[in-house]
Amino acid sequence: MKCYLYDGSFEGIFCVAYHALKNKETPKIYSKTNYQPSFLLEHTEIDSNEQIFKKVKNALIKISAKTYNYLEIAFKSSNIEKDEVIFNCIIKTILSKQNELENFSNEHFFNLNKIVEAVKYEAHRFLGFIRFSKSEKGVFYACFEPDGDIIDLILNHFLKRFYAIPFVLHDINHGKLYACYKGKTQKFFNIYKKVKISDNYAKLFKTYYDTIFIKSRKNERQMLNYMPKRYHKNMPEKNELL
Amino acid sequence: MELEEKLKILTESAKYDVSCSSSGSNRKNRQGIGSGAHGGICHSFTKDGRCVSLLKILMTNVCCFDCLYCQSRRSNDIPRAIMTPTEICEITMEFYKRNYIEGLFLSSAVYKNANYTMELLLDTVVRLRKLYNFNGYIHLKGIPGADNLLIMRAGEYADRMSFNLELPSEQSLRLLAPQKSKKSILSPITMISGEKQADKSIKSKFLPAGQTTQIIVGASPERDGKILRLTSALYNKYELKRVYYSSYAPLNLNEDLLPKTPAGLLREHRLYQADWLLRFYGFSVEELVDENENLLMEYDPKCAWALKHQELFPIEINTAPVEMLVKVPGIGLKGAYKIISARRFGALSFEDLKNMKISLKRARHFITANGFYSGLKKEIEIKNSLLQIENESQIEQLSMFSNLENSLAVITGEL
Repeated sequence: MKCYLYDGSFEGIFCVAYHALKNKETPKIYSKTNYQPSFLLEHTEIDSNEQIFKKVKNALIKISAKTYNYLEIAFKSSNIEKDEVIFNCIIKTILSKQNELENFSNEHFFNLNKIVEAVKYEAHRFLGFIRFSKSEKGVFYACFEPDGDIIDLILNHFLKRFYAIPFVLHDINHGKLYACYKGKTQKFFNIYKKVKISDNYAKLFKTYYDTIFIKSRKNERQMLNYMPKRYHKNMPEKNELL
Repeated sequence: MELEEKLKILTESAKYDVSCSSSGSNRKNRQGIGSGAHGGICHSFTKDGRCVSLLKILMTNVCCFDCLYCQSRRSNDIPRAIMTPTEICEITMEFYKRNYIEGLFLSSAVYKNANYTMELLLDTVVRLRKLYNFNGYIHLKGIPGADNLLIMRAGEYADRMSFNLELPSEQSLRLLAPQKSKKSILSPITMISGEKQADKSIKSKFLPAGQTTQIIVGASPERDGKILRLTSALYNKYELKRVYYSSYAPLNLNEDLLPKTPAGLLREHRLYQADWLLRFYGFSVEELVDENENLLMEYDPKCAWALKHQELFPIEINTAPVEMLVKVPGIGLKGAYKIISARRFGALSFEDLKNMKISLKRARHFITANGFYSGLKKEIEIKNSLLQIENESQIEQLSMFSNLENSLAVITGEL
């Protein structure tokens, strides 16, 4: 069985798709870092190439810009199957020359929609779940730990909303830190350590959170459905030490 | 009194109010702090599974009214507190800047008199908008009987306002809330809806998220049909965004005029389902209620309707118009959208529907796919099967609300 190896990048998937289309093959695809050689697989390495990427990208955008946009979002997912889904959707769209996003009975487009929905849902959740703490110098700092690489999807919302205050968004899972003020942003990468700030309002909010709870209607399972435990770490209302 | 203590008391009095939505407003930030998010944003979830979107508090729970069903009524002996407009502004801003909340839901008991209370509420929202340059969401509860000018001015600053109808008829109101009248509640609703309808442009700054209301169900003898017709008129004539139902609970047990038993959350649940069908699925009240003017408790209203109209089913999912698809029990708006999108690429089978994650539990009795029918044959079997599904889902959803003690707490301080 044929398989193609690529460098694990978004561009890489496009280059793999290009070669698959050109050679009229339907290979399995593997990122080089995850690939374990097997005697059943006959592998070809495909190097990423900016020009090929652009060629495929433009062809795709010409057919359906929305499809390209979906693929971009899907790539931010932490779903391990995303690369294969993206690869298959590129090929199918280019072969059929039409926007197939709503072809829900097709496995690949159904999965693409599912992955994109999950990424967007997580991004939407973090519009609410992000918590800032005010530092002594008056900077509002928020660290969070999303599954997907969603910081770029939520940045604009906070830039508009907190225009007048200096704030920092810090995704410690992906090591991205954005410092923002008055609509301007400075980006930093590979910063994985969170900053600890104690903020008196955290206690007050916890009081509010504990009081608004209707004890006779306790239903923690539903709470956890909406707000999974892995997100609690950076939320003051869930900090039992406060 | 410490701020924390006040916050506790005033949250306690406000927490049973059903509405916590922050949707419907797209208010832009003008170099200040805050913005509207049209779809609303939930910032946290309490241990009872409800969302925390707004800072929901009363300005005060000191009340001069004595409504029989209410916890904050004058004659009840409970801890009371008042927050000044500045205190409310400060705490709202500090919470908002930390992204704890989406905005403020401010309500109040009637302190001294209606106008005095409304003035304080107005003062608070004006400060937030002008002094603090706050552009986040504000839901303001109106005080019935306050001067029209005050109410209209508040509408210029708030995103949403609500006047609670409380009881579905004038007689019940006279009996149970003697200081309120139908006129004092309905006249501000009419006025606001008139103002909204006069200026329909997107740029209109008057209550961009419209108005809502709340009705207590089960404290008075009105039937579902009456309540739903009222609801329907509120949506169609007054263009309300939402009508909330609050199931009655006997909080003040020594009142002879009030029922001693809670209304139960199943009825509330059925009303919400019917409400949804009225707004989004093209049903009319007459189609939903039975000959006794009530909703069936055994099935959800859509199921009940479909069982009554078996001559219309089964429908073929590959050809049925969208208006019919959404009337199939178990297929919602999202499911219908998926079906009409996907069938453009090819005929759909039951296998395809399963892959599209469309639940066939209920729907299979009402549809065919490519001419195939996979539901049960006899009417009685279908009914039993649906009944069983209904019971299972109710156990999941409603068990925690069903006893008296639990539903005791359902209504209170919401004016």
